[in-house]
Amino acid sequence: MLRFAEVKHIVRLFVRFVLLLAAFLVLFVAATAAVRWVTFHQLGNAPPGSALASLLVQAGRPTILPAIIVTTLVTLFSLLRFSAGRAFALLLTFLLTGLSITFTMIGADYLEHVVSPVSAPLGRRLDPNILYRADNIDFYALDRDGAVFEPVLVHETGRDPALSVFQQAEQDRDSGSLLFRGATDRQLGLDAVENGYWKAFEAPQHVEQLFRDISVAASSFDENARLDNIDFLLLSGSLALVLTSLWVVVRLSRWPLFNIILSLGMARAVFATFYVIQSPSVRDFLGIVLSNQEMEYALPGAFVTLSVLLLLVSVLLPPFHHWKREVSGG
Amino acid sequence: MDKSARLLIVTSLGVYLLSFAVFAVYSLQQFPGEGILDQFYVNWVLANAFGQFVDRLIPIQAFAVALAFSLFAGHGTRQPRGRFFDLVRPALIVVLVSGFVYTLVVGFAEPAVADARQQMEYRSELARDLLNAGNEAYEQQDWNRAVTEYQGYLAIDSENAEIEDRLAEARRRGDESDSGREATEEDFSPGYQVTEQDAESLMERAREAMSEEDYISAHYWARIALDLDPERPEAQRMVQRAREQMASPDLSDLDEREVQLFEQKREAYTAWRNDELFRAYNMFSELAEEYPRDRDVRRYLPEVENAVRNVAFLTDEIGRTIHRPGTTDILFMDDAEVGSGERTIVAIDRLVTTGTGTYARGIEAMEIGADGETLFHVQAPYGKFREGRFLLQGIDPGGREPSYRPNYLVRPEGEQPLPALEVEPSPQDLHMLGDSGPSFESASVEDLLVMADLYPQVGYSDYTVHLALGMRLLLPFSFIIVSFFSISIGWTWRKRYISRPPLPVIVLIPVIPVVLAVVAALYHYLHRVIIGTVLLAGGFPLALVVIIVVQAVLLFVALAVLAGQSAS
Repeated sequence: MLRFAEVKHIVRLFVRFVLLLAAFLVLFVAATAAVRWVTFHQLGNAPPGSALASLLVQAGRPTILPAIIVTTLVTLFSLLRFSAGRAFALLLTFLLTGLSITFTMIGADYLEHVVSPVSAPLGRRLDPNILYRADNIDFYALDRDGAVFEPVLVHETGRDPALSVFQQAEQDRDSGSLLFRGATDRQLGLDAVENGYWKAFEAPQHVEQLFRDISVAASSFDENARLDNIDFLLLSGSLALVLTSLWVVVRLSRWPLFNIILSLGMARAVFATFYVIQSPSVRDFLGIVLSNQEMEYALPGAFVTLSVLLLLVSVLLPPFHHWKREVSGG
Repeated sequence: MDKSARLLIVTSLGVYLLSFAVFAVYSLQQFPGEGILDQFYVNWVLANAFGQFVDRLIPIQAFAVALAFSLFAGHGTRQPRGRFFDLVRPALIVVLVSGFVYTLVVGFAEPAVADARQQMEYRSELARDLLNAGNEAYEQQDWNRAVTEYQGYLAIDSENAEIEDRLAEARRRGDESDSGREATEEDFSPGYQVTEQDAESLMERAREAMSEEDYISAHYWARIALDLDPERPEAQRMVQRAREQMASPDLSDLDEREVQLFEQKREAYTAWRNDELFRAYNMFSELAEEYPRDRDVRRYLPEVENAVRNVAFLTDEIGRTIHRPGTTDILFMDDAEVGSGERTIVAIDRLVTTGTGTYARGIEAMEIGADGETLFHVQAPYGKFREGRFLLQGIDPGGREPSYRPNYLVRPEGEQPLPALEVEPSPQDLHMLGDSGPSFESASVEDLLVMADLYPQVGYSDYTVHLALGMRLLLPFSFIIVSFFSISIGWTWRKRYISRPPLPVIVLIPVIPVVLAVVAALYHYLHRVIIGTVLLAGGFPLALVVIIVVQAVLLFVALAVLAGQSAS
């Protein structure tokens, strides 16, 4: 039977979780949308309503899982202060995490279908009188009128002569490329441009890998995010389970810094699991023992396995009240 | 020394040494093998390890500081007394001194070491190139060239006994074949050079030559005197008389061979004076082979060759140098000033600078008007940089006609094709504009400032250079701020073990720097986004202001968090 103080703790836990999740979501979505806005060099221009909505929605899905994971970790650390009712609090954390994943993903799916198609895509800003270099095509436009550049000097590696003039080039925002109009048209994806200002906003290797894994994780939920889809619910539940299981890591040793950093490392590993499980080599390997249908459950299976392993480790740990007395003297 | 400072120094040094050892082992695996000479093996590994170590020094420092205040100053030791800030003040001074040293390292030592590593790679590539050229010459029994190439190789790899033996052998065989020649090396050295600066002393030489019936020399000296003093009537007369004598000389006392030599010299000299430079060069070169001791030939051939070198390069220079290590894929706008209407773009496939000059392969240039009309378009297989222009035509030594000429795909009607292409940037600048030029990461602050100045002049945006400069300026601040935060975090979450942690925890300690590396990369990336945004919005001066303000705020917060720590 829960006492009033414990109920108060539980209620506070619930409120804190919801507020933290909302705060982290707002922070991450705003930061991602701002970076995206700057990447397309729209500084000084307030985004029109539809563009702003589109930006926020596009930024939303990749930030959902990081926000939930950070919220869950912070909640788990706050549980260290609980003297009683931890089991119920852990159960509540698991439920809140699972429900958050489920409903935010369904919400994101809904918003993407409703809002995104309304807005025109953003294009990276190219300036005239700047020499841009890419893998095979380098170019220098003399003048610009909106998305049209004319004339354009082009240098193509491997052609003879390498230099030529295109009377016009058009920036295609849909494909994110530049189309050079001439006797024979050329197309250049702006991602390949090496010295565009937008390269400044590309993340370094470690961060890029993290973003990649987050993106893969987010895309794992983007199909059939419905309450009647068992696969979706299974994935959400298994992810919530493994995140809640990090409780074991949170109190793993009597060195809090080590526990915190190890939990962050484990959270990073959870994101990496999404990427690793979906990589062709691992799928080929798993294909030896799993059928195609079973392969769909590889990711939830991996999370459940990891959770079970963490639970086994918890058996080896000293009782929580011992740990708490040694660490915080209480 | 205070305990906290001593603890921090000892822990930092230990972590630094361990990290450097890890990077050294990693560099051993990265060693490019046959690409680097054996003699550079150790230095290359150390330089590479140093570069990697400095690149990751901020997370390493964060780990060291956190470890010092979390693991080694944790529970179980005697409880400290007094305010925490007072206790760690000496450690803060250590952090500040370390920050100063770090500034020097990233500002000077790291670029110098990166440059040294690139030099090792460059010299290894050059040595390989010289060795191949030497071996090729050796097999072709071109002993003099083999000696030159092997000497170049041994200047880099002086301990190579095998090549020393081959050099000695090439020298011996070269001497044997030279002993059959009548002429010595002096045969082709210039007879004498024009050192007189006044017309009278030149006229004295002209008179002397005229009295000896050496009309070619008389004409030569009188012409130079006339160039110096066009109003001198005696010089005008002397030129006229010498020309007449050359046209109808009294050859009665000479034998047939001397007559023929005189006629050939007169023809060559006349060709030179009529600006038929390549023909004159060819004729004097042939005369030099036939009459190596002739005074006139010895005098005029070097001068004609010098004149040729002003309008063309010698193809053997290209053959000897263009495969040497250099910069590839250079592209720039030659007149990037906006508003002039016309634009010239220049592409160079490969640029090599050696002791004898700067050589290019695959030069192409195009000028267009504001309406996109091509004003000229030229291609040249090779070129040599000389006094602000690339000579685009090449002549074989002693050749009559250029072997390489520029190919004008488009040229203005009625204008003669130019044998040279004028360019604004110097060879040193051009090397900064290629694919293999210095990267922003390894460039020194000085190089970055040069690039910031150069880039807009050659059509590139200075945005990326300014961003690199901003990020470089940020590093010392990051080092100090991260260290201060690490002290607070380490102390707040210090270990609660009475003695050392259990073995599994110790085994997992290397996870900490790995996670910190990701956190540090994220911290660095956030700054990059902020600086990049401000640069786009307001330029470099505003970005500098923002860097200083943001770092001041972060420093204040770090110190405030430190001050808020409890000692117990």
